[in-house]
Amino acid sequence: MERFEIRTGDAQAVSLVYLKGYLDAHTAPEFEKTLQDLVGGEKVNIVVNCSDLTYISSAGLGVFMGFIEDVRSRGGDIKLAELTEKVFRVFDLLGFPVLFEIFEREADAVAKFKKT
Amino acid sequence: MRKWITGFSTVLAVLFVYAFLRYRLIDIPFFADQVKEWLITAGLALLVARLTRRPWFERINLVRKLDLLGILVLTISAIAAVVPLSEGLGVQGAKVFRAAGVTFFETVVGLVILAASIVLLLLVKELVFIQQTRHTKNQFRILLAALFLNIGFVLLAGSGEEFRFTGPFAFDSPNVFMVLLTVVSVFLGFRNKWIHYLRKKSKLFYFFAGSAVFVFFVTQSSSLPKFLAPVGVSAGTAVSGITAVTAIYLGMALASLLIHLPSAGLMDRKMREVRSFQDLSAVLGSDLKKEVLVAKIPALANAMVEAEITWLELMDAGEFKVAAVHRKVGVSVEIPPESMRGPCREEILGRRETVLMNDLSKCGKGASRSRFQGSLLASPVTSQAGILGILFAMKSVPFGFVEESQGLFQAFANQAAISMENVSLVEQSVKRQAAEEELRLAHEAQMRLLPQRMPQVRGFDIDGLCITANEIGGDFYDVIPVGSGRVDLLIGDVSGKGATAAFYMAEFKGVILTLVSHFDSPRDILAEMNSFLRKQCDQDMFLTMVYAILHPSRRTVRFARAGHCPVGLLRGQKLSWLEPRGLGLGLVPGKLFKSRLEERRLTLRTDDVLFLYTDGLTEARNPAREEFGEERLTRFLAGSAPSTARELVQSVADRVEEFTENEPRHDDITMLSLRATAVKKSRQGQGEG
Repeated sequence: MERFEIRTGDAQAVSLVYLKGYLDAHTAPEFEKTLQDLVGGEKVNIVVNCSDLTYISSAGLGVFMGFIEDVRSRGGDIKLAELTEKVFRVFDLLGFPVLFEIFEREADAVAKFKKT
Repeated sequence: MRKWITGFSTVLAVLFVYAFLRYRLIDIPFFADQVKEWLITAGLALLVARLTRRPWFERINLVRKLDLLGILVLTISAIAAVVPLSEGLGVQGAKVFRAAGVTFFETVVGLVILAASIVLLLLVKELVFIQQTRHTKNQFRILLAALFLNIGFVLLAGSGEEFRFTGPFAFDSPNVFMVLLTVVSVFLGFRNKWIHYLRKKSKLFYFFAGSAVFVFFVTQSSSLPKFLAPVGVSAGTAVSGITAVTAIYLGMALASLLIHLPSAGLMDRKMREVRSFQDLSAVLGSDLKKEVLVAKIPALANAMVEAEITWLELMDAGEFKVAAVHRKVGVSVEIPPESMRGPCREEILGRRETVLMNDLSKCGKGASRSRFQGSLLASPVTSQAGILGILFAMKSVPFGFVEESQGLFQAFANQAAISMENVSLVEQSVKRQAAEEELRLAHEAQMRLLPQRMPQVRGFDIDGLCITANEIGGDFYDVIPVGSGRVDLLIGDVSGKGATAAFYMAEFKGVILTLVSHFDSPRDILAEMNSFLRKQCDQDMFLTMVYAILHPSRRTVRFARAGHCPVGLLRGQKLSWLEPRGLGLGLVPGKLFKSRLEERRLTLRTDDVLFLYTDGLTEARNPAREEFGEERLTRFLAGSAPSTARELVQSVADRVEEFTENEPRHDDITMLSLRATAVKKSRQGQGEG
């Protein structure tokens, strides 16, 4: 089993979440906890950087779905950045681009928060 | 038993006849008498040697043995005291029959005393052999040898009339063997370990009752050998030897009992401690529920140290909390007691070993000093993982516990820790079993939701396959004939895994079966499904699906894709992936969903194949962690020329299995294939619509 790692950072009032490895039903709770902590701390401007994310399963996608409405109702958003081709394909098939803003570069995602 | 009775009767008859002849009728020569005595001696020696070779009273416990010994000694003494001896054995002029009667009676009494003496010897041997050492056996052999050498000496030394009637019995004329017998008896007299095993009450009883019996026995035993006159001098000497051994052994045992009386209570306590420790192991080993076990620990600990209150505190979220309490009747102290909240407690918690506090009023300093008078024992309950809790025992008096209890209390706490750990392990394994059971049921549910039989559709060949993962992946497919001229095909993947996924699958199947009769376009059906999911299901739950409606007579198929993998169309050697727009079900509100959902229409030609699958197929991985992927799938499908739908799905499954080797599956792999077959009067399709 590939390891799953999660790391958080800050960039001027925007919370950064770095996902690495294999996000599936087993590792999803970890990601869920991270988002829970951010939202609980009223940190609702979130950019999820997926540059090192090798795989995402439906359970992993479910975590995004579980938080997006809550985050938006608090005036924030979850934006995705630096998706690999393969991961983007999964998001795309499901129609995620309609739901989430997806950026090629993390900086662009952070900048987008500033504008609004 | 019969053998013994026969033997006894024969010996009795022979002895009786001999004694009668000798006393009443004829003067038997000294030589004949000597022969008889040696024969008896040899017989006795053989009998005793044989009897002492094996244990006789194994099955009765110590107290019963002592009782038996007492009764036997009392009986022999009573016989000696009560039964009259016909002093003038050679009663002149008495009637022959009366003389015969007296002789018979005396012979019987003599033999009974002899038999009882032998049993006495065996009983003493049993007591001596309790906790025997290497030397015990040899010492006892020496004792037996001295016993019989003494007889031999007496036989050789005695002579004439004097010998015939009264005889120079052992204790009348001391000899070297008798001295040896006495010395060995004294040695064996020290072998009375059994005294330790008596309870205080028994010790008291056996001391007083035993002393009375002993005095009675000693005063009467000197006349015992005289009863053996009809049997013979040798038997008399044997009896006097055995009574001497018994008297010495009993005397020393009584002295030893007297010495042990003051410590009897202490010994009892020790025994109780050991017993309750054994009880604990037994009780702890038999309980499978942690609560029950925890509740029992203080009571068992209390039985061991006899405190007034015993309680167990267990570590719970970084804090010690009282888990179980045992109070002696009438003790009503709050637990943990006030005295145990202050500095004393910290002192105990700080030390990770058994603590004995003889005077609780001494702990703490200055104002915080405890005012509580009492003593306390505390032992940490630790496992390999760390400290589980602390076991306390308290008495309201200072110096209430003995030093030695400390070690035992700790041993008890260790045992409790082991038992608690065992219980935890058992509970874990029970939980795991329950989880496995849940999984098995979910699997069963999933398999039952899949179509059991493929409907026969004129001009088409349909087949599906679902290879489940160890965990439920949430895949499903269905082929539903709807009235005439319509067959619905669908394949889906519920997000998440396990029983929840299986549960949703069942629910969706029901919803779909309702929807098919009300809507006739894949787009409408999926839109309704989306609304249902938005309303009824968890926010983080979603579903991807391809829904297709086939009209066999028109040879057309309409389908929509809700976030699912693309649909493959194999036409000739060419494979194209059809990916109409569409979001997963449950992601967005109805309006947005429907506006983004595109419906396609196809007209199928003979030998066209539609291939539907779930992402478990393309995401299946080999040991090198590579995914099977869309490319491999495309190449394989493009190169295949299946003759049936079944053949197609099976060949893909085989190919994937070959690719993944033995790598475990993380997700279900599901495929559904629709192949157009040749039909008479079929209209040829015009390609994609």
